[in-house]
Amino acid sequence: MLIQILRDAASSEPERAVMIAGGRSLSYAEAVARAEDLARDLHARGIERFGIAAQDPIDVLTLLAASSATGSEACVYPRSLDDPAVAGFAERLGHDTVIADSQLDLGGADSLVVDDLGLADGELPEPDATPVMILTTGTSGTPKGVRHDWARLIRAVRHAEGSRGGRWLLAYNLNQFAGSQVMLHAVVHASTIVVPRTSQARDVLEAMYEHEVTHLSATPTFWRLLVGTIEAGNAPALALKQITLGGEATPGTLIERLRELFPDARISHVYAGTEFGSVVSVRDGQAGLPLSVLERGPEADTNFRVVDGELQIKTRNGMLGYHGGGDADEWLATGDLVEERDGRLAFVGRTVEIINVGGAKVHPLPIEELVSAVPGVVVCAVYGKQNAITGQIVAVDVVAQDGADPDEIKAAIHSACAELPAPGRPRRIRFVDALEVRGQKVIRNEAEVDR
Amino acid sequence: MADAEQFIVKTIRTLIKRRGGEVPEISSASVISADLDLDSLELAELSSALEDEFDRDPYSEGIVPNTVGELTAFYAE
Repeated sequence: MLIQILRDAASSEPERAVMIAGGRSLSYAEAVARAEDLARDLHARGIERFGIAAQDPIDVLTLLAASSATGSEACVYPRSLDDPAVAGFAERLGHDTVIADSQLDLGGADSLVVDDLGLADGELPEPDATPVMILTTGTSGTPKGVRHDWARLIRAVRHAEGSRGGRWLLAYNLNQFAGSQVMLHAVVHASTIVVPRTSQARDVLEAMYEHEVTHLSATPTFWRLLVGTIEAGNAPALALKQITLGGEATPGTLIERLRELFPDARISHVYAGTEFGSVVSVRDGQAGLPLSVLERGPEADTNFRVVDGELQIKTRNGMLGYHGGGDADEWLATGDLVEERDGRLAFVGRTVEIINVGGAKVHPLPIEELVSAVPGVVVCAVYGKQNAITGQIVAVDVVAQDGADPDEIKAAIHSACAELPAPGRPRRIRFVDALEVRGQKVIRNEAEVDR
Repeated sequence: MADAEQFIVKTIRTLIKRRGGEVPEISSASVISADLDLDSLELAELSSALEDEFDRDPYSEGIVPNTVGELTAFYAE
């Protein structure tokens, strides 16, 4: 349970900060005391399930820990929702209670204010189950509620290596599965979670320097932006010990660039999803997964297979199920398309991102790799654009370096992609200030973002 | 109209040059598929470029111009 790993850390390092956010610092001892107060209150009120719409990550952390102490099921809502949106989540997820910073107008559900809670007396229960609900990012539709169990999540994190007492930057929000992973890794290792003012690369860097961050887990999209910001600003060196990439396919070129910038850091890319959890961590410096993941056998916690080019996963560390039904412990389709290349399982795109160019199926990621390597390109996203003649064409949005010549970049992109089969070559190159991202991941879907 | 013709000729030249072809004389009588030898992907790229430049293109409206002149005329309407 989250409360138990907090107590474990508090018993050896009571004064150490578990979280630094918004100029405030919360020690492990304070976190345990606050979480237990909140837990007594939740228990006294008989709250079995609730939504968290509080914005301060310190409140979110202590509320999650409190829920794990009582066995009530908490769910962190996406940040910065207005009242009707919070009410919508509460209704869809069947929450009678939502805890927030202030009184919200929620119609059917009770609105509790976090600062009013924690005054109840009484014993803490000893729950036999400790569920928690985590929302999917909703990159392809409405976020779904995925039921996990704290014990399973923590078991999966425990055997991860990690030095105690590090400082982990939280580049995700705590409503995201990846954010909960950072939180659990940090707490299991009695470390400090540093929350930046915003998740813009600039603010993240500032927080990293100020608090001497040692561990950072983020999406490849985010890392590219961070690398771009560092390279553009002659920033001083960062003493990173651990670099983690996840949430999207990690290109080999990005791993190489990070290795040059952070020669002392251990670099790993994880394959994880809200439904199946974090199932593999790759540390050999190469993109893709080793083929050996396909031959793990029935004793392994997690098994992988490829069906019609799509990676499927069956795991004992994954979710208990979806809110409103849907089985776990079965083969789960990941939506990730893979191909065997040079002895690796290479990610080539997502099922929803396949571009159909006059009947030819084109995957975006290998094209992005080629375009990203073109001098002057900071980041790019490849997607299908509707076209009257071929159905779709390959389109690419490019963020260029300041001062770069767009015509030169266009010409270089065309020559870099000349090696591709004709349908896979970009037919429309557009320069943009920033890519469409959601949950720090690139959106590659024309319809959704109305490109 | 002159702008449209200029843009169309320039775009077609770029497409032919990129495939390493000899750029022929392009006039309003040039037949897009035969004389200029644009394949469907190049045509798709041309239509996308036209849409970006002028906010509309004939192909999306179900019109398939035969010659450069017909294509230019679409933007004279």
